Amino acid sequence: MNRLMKKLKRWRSGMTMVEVVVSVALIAVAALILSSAFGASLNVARRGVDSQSAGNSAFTAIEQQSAASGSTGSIAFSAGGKDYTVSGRYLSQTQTVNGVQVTFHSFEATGP
Amino acid sequence: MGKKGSALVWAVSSMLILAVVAAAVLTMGGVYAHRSIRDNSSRQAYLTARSAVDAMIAQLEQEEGSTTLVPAAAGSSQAVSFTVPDPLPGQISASIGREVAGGVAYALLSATAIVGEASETVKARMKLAEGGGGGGGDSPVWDYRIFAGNTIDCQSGNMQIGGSIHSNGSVNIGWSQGRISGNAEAVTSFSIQGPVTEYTRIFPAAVIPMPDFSGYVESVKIPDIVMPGSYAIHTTGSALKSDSRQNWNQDMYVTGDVTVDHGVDITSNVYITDNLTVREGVKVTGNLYVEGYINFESGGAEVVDGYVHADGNMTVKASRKLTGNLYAGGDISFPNGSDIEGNVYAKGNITANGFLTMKGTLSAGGAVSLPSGAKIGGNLFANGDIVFNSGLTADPAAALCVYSAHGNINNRVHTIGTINGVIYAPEGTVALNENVTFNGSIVGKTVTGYAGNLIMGECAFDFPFLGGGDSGWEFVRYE
Repeated sequence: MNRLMKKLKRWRSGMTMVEVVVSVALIAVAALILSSAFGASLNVARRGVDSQSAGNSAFTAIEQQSAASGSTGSIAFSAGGKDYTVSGRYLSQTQTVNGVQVTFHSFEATGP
Repeated sequence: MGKKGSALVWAVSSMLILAVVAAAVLTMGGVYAHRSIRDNSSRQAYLTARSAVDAMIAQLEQEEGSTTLVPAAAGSSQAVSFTVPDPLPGQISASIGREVAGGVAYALLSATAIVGEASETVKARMKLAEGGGGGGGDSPVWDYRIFAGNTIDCQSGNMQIGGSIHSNGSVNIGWSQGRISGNAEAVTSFSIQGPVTEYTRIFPAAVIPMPDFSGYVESVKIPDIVMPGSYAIHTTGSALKSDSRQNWNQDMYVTGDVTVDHGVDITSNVYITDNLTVREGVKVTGNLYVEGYINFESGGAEVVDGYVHADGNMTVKASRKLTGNLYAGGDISFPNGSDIEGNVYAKGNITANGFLTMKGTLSAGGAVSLPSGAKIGGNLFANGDIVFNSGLTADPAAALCVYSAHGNINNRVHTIGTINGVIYAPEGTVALNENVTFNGSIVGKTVTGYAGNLIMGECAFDFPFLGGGDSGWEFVRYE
């Protein structure tokens, strides 16, 4: 216990020039690395927000089939050993927010 | 040198703390971005699954109740294999099951789509809606080729019945040659005169009640005309005189009689407070309401998806194709025949001469009189008598329904070619004449007449009048 107290007293006595220089250098390097990491992280998070926002708009639009572009087509399925083909329209809706683009697709059936 | 300090320890500690914070922020950003991508994948998966369910709904709405798309056994289900072309992303696994609740059959549709890491399932429920029938659809009466509430009294040179006959009263049949492949049933008296080749006599048989189809007639009633509350033009009948063909393309309210001498195209809503006479042709694609009578004289009348309503009588002297609706509070007559693919309803009588080709529904509060060779492929209802003035022709690929609620179906029912369907006069007489080749059921209080050849078999078609043939699937809800 006495030895530990002596060591603490010695530490309280101040830091050497080498320690100061090395510490500043280390902190500077760490700050550089962390700032770029923070930037990347913020960028990822922002893209996530933009993607969410674009997704909300695109989904609402295609659900309401408002302003959705479409092309005629068909969708095929089989059941009970029989094939069926249903005609309709393929709808797509794209929304872009801050360069983040989200596109949804759906099929509007009109009948066999 | 040689001195010892604490700066390095603090520096390293600070770096560790910063590293932890940075790692946390990085992780949170990544998680948030990943969640956004996953949310969008989830939405696309929902849209893909919904598309698959909608496709199954669209197909089932066109299918009959007996479709193989829905398994027959309640509580069972079968897989539906989808081929999803671009641009619809994802993979779909789907199934259709059958459930019965409260005596009603339901189809349970389910589709699960996987897009990226997201998976969404959409379910829907459809109901099997039976055809109309007013409670008579399940009646055993429709299992008989000939059924009488009181009497079967028929003579025939050659009677070939593929099925059974039944009378709640007497059966009195005479034939030169004959065969009844099923039962010949009578409740009060039984007589078949002639060479016996084949039949199973059941006498006395149990009474079978006549089915009630009054509800069915109501279910196919012509819809009411819908006129606007206000009109862009108010004018008088005399102001509509013209030396050339007219075009009524704005909503118009006309007071007084209207006579059009050189034809008219009606593409709007026109209301006339008195009578309307049109010469040299009329084409109606809008709505025409006339409080008095309507005379469509020379030049032809064409009603294309429009609606012509007269509170009084309606005469269509030179009918072209009628694919819309015709309603008259009085009688409707087609003196020179008609080609009807729409709905025609008269509170009074309907009379056609010349020719009649019918694919829609023709119903009369009174009687119906049809010309020689009338070709019927739809529904024909009357409260009173239905008279075929000569042979009856029908599309062999369609089912015919002739129903007189309170009258007779007479007096020359004979067929040209094979006819499928039902002839039904529960309170009257069905009178047969000459040759009759009929697949289905002839039902009357009395079935009588002389048919040189009376050839009957089972109807080849599912038939809405029988209350289950034309049943179909109706969308109920998404679940």
